[in-house]
Amino acid sequence: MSFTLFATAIISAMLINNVILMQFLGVCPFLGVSKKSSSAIGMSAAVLFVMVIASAITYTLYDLVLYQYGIPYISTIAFILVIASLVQFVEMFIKKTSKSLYKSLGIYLPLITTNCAILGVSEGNITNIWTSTLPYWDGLLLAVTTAVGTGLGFGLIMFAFSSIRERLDASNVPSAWKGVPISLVVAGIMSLAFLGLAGII
Amino acid sequence: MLVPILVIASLVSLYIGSYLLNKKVEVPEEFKLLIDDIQCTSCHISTCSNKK
Repeated sequence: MSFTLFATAIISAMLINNVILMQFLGVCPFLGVSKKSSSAIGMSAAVLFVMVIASAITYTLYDLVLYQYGIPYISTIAFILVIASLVQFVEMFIKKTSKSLYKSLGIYLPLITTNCAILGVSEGNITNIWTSTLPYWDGLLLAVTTAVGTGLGFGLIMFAFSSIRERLDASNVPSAWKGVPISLVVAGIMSLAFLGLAGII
Repeated sequence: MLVPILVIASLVSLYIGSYLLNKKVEVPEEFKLLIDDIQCTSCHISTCSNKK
């Protein structure tokens, strides 16, 4: 496994196949938690954190349990349960250990249970990376790398979108366009801009 | 037929266990101050531990 492969996986997941603008996953927090940059950064950090751990666990579960016992068809329901449990454990761990982490991630963690971007990445790892011949550790490393890239891509878009929304709040927008309508127009333009990156790799 | 049922049952038990454990762990008083001014307007999760 070469460095180029991992770099390609990160750039591809972050920019070219951006989880929000190209795959339209995680649109709920994209619109709901992007009014302030600070909230967007907190949510992005929480998503990155859970996405990486969830990818490692779901890939392992699929490779070592679901595939081995011939039950890959229950992967979706199994992944949902794993992600929901993981969020509970992470929240509990943070409550007990770190005040600063709780301050930045705590309120966003329950939201992640219903974030389809996490499930989308876990399913995508199985569809795009996993093969029965790929060695476990290579696949796991690639899955985690993809999750890091996807999480960073999520954060990049959340931060950019929240910054634009903050500026829009302070600008003179026609009353009919204020709030959600102008935000959706901005999201559409951002999506078109990212479409220009398709085909780079 | 038994294996998928066992796997799902164990994962459901894991979730219920983790939920109950998380519910038992109280948010420390000093942490509660941090979330006093949070307005949960975009989230409708009824089981959210931050809801008062």
